[in-house]
This record gives sequence, structure tokens and C-alpha cells, in this order.
Amino acid sequence: MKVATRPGPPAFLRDPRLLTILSVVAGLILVLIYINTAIKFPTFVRFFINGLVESAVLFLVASGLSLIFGLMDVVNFAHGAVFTWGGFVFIWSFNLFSTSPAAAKDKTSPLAWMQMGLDPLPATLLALLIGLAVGALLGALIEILAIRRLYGRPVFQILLTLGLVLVLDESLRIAFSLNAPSYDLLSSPWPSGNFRITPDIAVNWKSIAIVIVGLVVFLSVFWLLNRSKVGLVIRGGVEDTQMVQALGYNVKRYFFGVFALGSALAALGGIAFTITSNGASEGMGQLNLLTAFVVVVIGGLGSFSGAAVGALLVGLITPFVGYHFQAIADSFVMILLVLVLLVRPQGLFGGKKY
Amino acid sequence: MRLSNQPTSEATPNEPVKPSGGNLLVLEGLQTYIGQFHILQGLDLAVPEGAVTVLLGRNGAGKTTTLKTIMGLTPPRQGTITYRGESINGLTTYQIARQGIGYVPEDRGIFREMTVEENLLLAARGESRAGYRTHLANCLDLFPDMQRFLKQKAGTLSGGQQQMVAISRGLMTGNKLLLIDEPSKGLAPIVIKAVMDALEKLKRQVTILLVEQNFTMASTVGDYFYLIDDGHNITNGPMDQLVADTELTRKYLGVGFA
Repeated sequence: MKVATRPGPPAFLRDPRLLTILSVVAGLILVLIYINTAIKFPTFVRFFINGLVESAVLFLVASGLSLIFGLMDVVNFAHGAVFTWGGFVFIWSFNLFSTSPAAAKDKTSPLAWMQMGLDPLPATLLALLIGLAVGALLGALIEILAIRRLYGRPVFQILLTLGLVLVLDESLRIAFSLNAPSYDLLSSPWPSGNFRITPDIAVNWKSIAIVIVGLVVFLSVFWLLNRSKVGLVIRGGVEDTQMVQALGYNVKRYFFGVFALGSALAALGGIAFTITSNGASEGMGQLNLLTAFVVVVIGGLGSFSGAAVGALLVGLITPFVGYHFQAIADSFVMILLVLVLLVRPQGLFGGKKY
Repeated sequence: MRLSNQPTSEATPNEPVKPSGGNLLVLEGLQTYIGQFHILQGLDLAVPEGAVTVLLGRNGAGKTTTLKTIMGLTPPRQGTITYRGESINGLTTYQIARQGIGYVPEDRGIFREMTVEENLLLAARGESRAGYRTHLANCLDLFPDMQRFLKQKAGTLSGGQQQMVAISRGLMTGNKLLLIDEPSKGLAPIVIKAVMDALEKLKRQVTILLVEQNFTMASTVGDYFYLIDDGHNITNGPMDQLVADTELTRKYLGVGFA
């Protein structure tokens, strides 16, 4: 059978997985429009935007987890700790970068060079890079020192990464000399201010930026896994490690890369969460990790697109549920998990790797 | 330790004729353990360049382990492996593969979740787009049927189709040596014939070390044979010699009983 090349959208857009995601999103929008009839339009839009931002943050944490837990089958509880570290490092470096040299209290500090009095935009971008780098570095260290010896041994992974959570959380307290469990941004990171859709409805620029970052991360990692050679090696390595090595690839290096990338995404999630909530707290990692695990399971283990859809479902519906049924707002995520698993035990996109 | 591309003569009484430029791969005194089991017990083997060498023996003789040992999947405790005159002892599997050795395992090692095309693309390590197309055209020439199921998920293919993909994968980087483990296993006779024809054509492109239980296939495709038992050599020589020796084939390969 020969498939004739048809004119039309590029192959990338004709991917069945992408189409499924788009239809789920379209369905979701219809449901939301229905809910909209019950509440006033501006409130609806506010909720919707909040939901999108929450989805984006959730997706960032869940995407890293989807790579490490879903794809490589490593149960990594330290993912949440890396999330927290990302947020704290971001705040710390943002605060340093935006402090002007004149206002600096301790001019003899070895970090005095960082006090450049930058504008919020460059300070945010620089701090973002540092946060991501620290996330990737933590992931790299965890992989080299611990996980590398424990592939395929989930019980040991759980024990070890739970221990790592304690180590990382305590070292966070030491590194940031924390007395109180939270840490605040000294000024608002870019982009501050609002974008007015209509005179009644204003959307925070920060929110728009975070949603765009979430979308960009989704498209890039989707492309990496499904359209690039690196993705082939990773998927092959997950399926049959020995055979990929027999084809001449150093699988260890690729797994190491995936782990570092997943951890950088955890840190990015922490940074996004920090920006939306204007500060970071010690417990934020574990709290978000739990939801992220649920998102990954709802989406289907090993399915990256599933993690995106799961994050959208949880993030978008939660604010509306909270509005209409206050009582179950907190437990809603778990209710959704139970419902999805009842209908599809393998998760929405489960059974397909990547 | 002495590194040589010549087999030790005392262990290989019937030294094969070298058709071109000597031996591509030489194993000397290989000792391999899997867990506590001593599988290869001083195996010697020489694979002449440009020919098909068939490794024969009963179940459990150590044929598959020999291939795995060459690939570094079950590294030897003792002995040397020399490829193109250089020792590849101690190299990891991926480094050995990069020397130009392709491996087609017994279970075919197909990536079931990927399409056939993706399987081949993955195998074309370090190849440019043009290089990939050249190798792909070569494989399609060898297995014209593959054109039909290039876009299909490899896990949905039949055993014979998977075997075509597995062998093609070994040809996507211009490997000099292919290690093929029981390509006829579990295949229908008509499919075995197709694989045999392909191996006949393949002989002109690449040196092959073949493990095969099917004596018809082994004797048709093979130029040289090594008969091993309990992890060491029994005898070796040109394939015609083995075909003529009915006593030997009856004793070790059960040929003639069927």
C-alpha cells in the first residue's frame, strides 16, 4: 500500500496524539463555556486564566516527572525537593541581581558582584537561568550518585529518594539560612502589570508568560521525544537497553541527560510557582509533587502528551469546582483520579510510551 | 598477552582457507561465565573476511553466549577478542558496536513501540540523511517486502517481517561484520527460504558470523563452520567438509535422524 502525499497541514500537525490533545482541549472549552452560563463572564475568564496558569505550573512539574517516572520508571520523590530548590534559587538570585550596588548592605560579600541593580526583566531572565542550571545540576548529581545503580529497582529508589528529600530540604534551610519556612521576592519579577482584554478583564502579564513557557516546553519536549534522533534513542533505551547499546549508543549518557532535563523542568515548575505566588515556602515542593504524580497517572504512565492533558484537566477544572462545590475543592484531584482510573485503568493515554 | 589475528593452530585443527585479507575476527581461549555457570570453556574461533562462518552445536553448547561475549553483553573472564587486528577486550557494548559490528539477537531485539522506519533510523547511527537513504535503498533491495510495512508499528509485524527489520538494522551503518543469531527460529519454511536468499545476497556486502540450528540453511549459506560443544571447539573447516561427514553431523547436530 502506498500512501500518497497529500497537500495539507504538515505531518507534525497530523499526529494522532496531537489531534487527541486538541480535541480534549476543545471538549474542555465547551464544558467550561457551559459552566460559564452559571457565572458572570468576567469571573469566568478570570477563573479560566487562573486555571490555565495553574495547569502550566502543574504541567512543568508533571512533565519532568513524566520523563523520569513515566518514561524511565524511576520513582523519584526528590523531584519535589528540586522544585523547591528551583524556586528558592530563583528568588535568591533575582533579589541579588535586582539589588543596586549602592543599596547593598554587605559590600564585602563574595557575591557582591551579583548586586548589579538590574531591571526586573534581565534580573528575571538571569535568575531563571541560574534556577534551571541548579535544577539540572541537582538532577545530574542524583542520577550519578544514586539512581544510576538503582535502575529497575523501585523499592530502593523509593527509599533512597525519600532520604534525599530530607537531605535536600535540610540543605535548603542551611543554604538559605531559613528561620521562617518562606522566602519572598523583594520586588515583582517581570513581566509585571496587566494586559486588558476588555475594560473589565485584565490579565496579568506574568500569567501569560507562564502559559507561554508551558506551551513552549510541551512543544519542544514533544518534538524531542517524537521527532528527533535523541528521542528515538531514549524511547529505544526504555524498551530494550541492551539492543540500543548494541546499535552503538551510550545509553547511560542519554538517561543521564533525561534525568537532568526532567530535574531542570522541576526547577522551572518551582520558579513558575514562585512567580505566581510571589514567594516560596519549604513545603511547596512536596505539595505540588503529589498533584503532579496524580496528573502523570491520569495522563497515563509514560505518556508525555498524557501529562499535558492531565495537567490541563486538573488545572482548569479545579477553580470552577472550588467555586461551585467548596466542600470538595481540596479532594477534587483525588476524585478525578479515581474517576479516570475506573474508566481507563491505564490512564487517558496509557499503554503508549511517550 | 599476545594479540594476533591468527587462530592458535593446535586448537583449530582444520584451519579455514582465508579468502581475502585474513581473519576479521579472532577469538582465543574465551572463558565466559553467566552467574555461576561456566559457559564458554576456552573457545577459539576465527571469522575470515568476506565469508559466512556458521557456528553449530547442540542447545546449550554456548553459541548465543559466544555472540553475546563478542558484543560485550556477557564479557569474558579470560581470553582475547581481536577485531581487525586490534583487541576489543574490555570495551563496552556500544564501543564494540561502533567498531563496525552489527548484532541481530535471537529474539530479534525489535523496538516494538516504534515504526519500522524509526527502527531503521535509530540503527543509522551517525549517518547523514543521504547515507540513511542509501542504506535504506540497499535494505529494500534485499527485502523488497519491507516497503509495504515501513510505516507500521514494528510490534505488529510477523516473525519473518521482524527478522527482515532486525537484519536490515544491522546494515544501516555500513557494518563490516554481522553477528546473526538463529534467523530461522520460529519461522515458516517459506519465510526461512526468503531469509536464506537474503543472506546469500548479503554475503557479498558483509562478513557474517551466523548461529544456526537449521542445517539446510547453515549448509546452504555457510562457507565455513565451527562445531562447538560444552563451550569449546570440536572441529571446524570448510562447510563442504561438514556436509560430507555424516557421522559428525549425526552425532552433534542430529542430522539424518529426522
